[in-house]
Amino acid sequence: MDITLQVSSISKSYGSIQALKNVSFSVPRGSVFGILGPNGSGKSTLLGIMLQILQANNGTIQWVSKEGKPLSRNQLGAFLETPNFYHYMSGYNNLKITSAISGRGTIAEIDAILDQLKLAQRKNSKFSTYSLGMKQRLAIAAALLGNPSILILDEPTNGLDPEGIAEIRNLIQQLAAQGTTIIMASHLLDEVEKVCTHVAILKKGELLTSGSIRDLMSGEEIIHLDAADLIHLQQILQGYPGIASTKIEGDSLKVHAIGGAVQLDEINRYCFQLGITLRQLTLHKKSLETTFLELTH
Amino acid sequence: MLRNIIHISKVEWMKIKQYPAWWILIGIVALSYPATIVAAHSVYANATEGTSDAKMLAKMILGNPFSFPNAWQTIAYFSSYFVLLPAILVIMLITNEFQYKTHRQNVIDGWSRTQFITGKLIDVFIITLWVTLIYFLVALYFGATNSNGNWYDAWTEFYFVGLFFIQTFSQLSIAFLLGFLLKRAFMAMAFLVFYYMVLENILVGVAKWKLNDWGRFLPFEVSDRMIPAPGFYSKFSDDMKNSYELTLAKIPEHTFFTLCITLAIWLICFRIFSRKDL
Repeated sequence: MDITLQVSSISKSYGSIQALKNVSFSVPRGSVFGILGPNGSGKSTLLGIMLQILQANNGTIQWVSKEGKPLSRNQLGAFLETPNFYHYMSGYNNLKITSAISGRGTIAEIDAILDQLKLAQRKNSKFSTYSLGMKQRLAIAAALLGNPSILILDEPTNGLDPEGIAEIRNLIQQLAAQGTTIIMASHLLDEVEKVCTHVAILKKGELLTSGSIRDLMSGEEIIHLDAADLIHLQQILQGYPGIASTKIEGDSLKVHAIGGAVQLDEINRYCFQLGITLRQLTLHKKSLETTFLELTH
Repeated sequence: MLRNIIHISKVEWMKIKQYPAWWILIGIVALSYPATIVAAHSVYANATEGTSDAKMLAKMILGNPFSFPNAWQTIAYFSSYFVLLPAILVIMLITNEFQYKTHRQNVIDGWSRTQFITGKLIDVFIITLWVTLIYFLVALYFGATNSNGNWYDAWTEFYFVGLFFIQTFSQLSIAFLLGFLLKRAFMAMAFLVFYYMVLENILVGVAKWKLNDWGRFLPFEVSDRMIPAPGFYSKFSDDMKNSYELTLAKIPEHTFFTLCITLAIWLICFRIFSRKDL
């Protein structure tokens, strides 16, 4: 697998509070990688260490370019927690400073990105006069400036209205389609599920799991069945390959199956051959939220 | 290295050229330094211009501290009292970064921590250059207008320009350290004013009395002693003359200690900033 970031054994403590405990994972190049966790789980601390604004007590962070060399910092656009800009300067001039420091973007690109983030009309207004949503857009504009190959976003949809959230989601999907690696921390699980290809889930500083969303959510499937004789149906399905457990709940039978191991049409045929006609047969894949709640509680 | 410094200077200039407080304080410095000297000169002129015996005596004792070469020292001495004005600007430039968390953003955007502090060092350097330029122009003007066209020894005490630069840079570095450590402009300014105007004077006084004048190594005092008060009193007696000459002889020693303290301040800032969480 082509890796763009290797996080190895990162630990970080603030006094007696251990914010991260021996966290290791890797981010595939071109992925949209979500870092999930409840408040206080260490997401922002981890992003801060990735960007060298926080010092880890242990462990290493390695950014790797396509050529396998250490990644140059101007390939990395980032926005952490709150938009940090010079309040007395305009949005436009703030981006000029971002460009001068990072080496990302030209004057023409500053105009283009402000236009894309719908800030062109207010580009010459002081940052202090911007609304929360505009500040957030400017921070995203700063991160996107110069089209970096890696984007780090911390709660990118905070403070945005529903339309703004949808725009950022589309933007992330567009950038991902162009091959940009995106690492984002969020607690909005449905947002993450919509855009992310991979996740790492943290709880109280510990990494609970990491990997592709498909693998994470394919661990277990739930099938709801209904027939005239539910007790007989339960008996014949108990020994069926791939089924872990069965339980009658109200008017239907709830079956927990190993992810990908059971095909609905085969179950239907099997039941029919044994004289049971199914009235309902539906598969419920677990949502990321269900998976997340199971892991973090 | 030079390219890096030019790059950092350009970014710092982008930050400060649009900062209204920068232009206001730069303007106040440009007006207040000459105004102070005009006031001091007018007190001197009132005391010495005229034909009465008292005024003739005053003129004989005081000489003309505003003519060359004494003007360099006299005007450096009076100007040094106004270091609090540029110090406010220095404190605001660093505490603004902490307040808006732009120090953090600069590092996120790709600056190393060393580059960030180097930027602030450059800010202090530029402000010191500006203050020294104002002092230089004021001293040149008063020296020229009080020397009756005599430029013969105009440059013999020109080294006070260098001393004034070092003194200002050192004292502004102390202000920077306070802003850097306390992070809040109001707290840093309050502490600076209290320390500069009250606490250090008390400590220097107590040290003179009880501790073999160890107060001379305190951060403001050591650089204050680089530019002694004009030596009118040295004409009163041989003892006073010897005392004044000893003060002048100690200027190199105080300059050395001032440079050491200033270097230590910046090393502390670089070290703390390179290790702390932002």
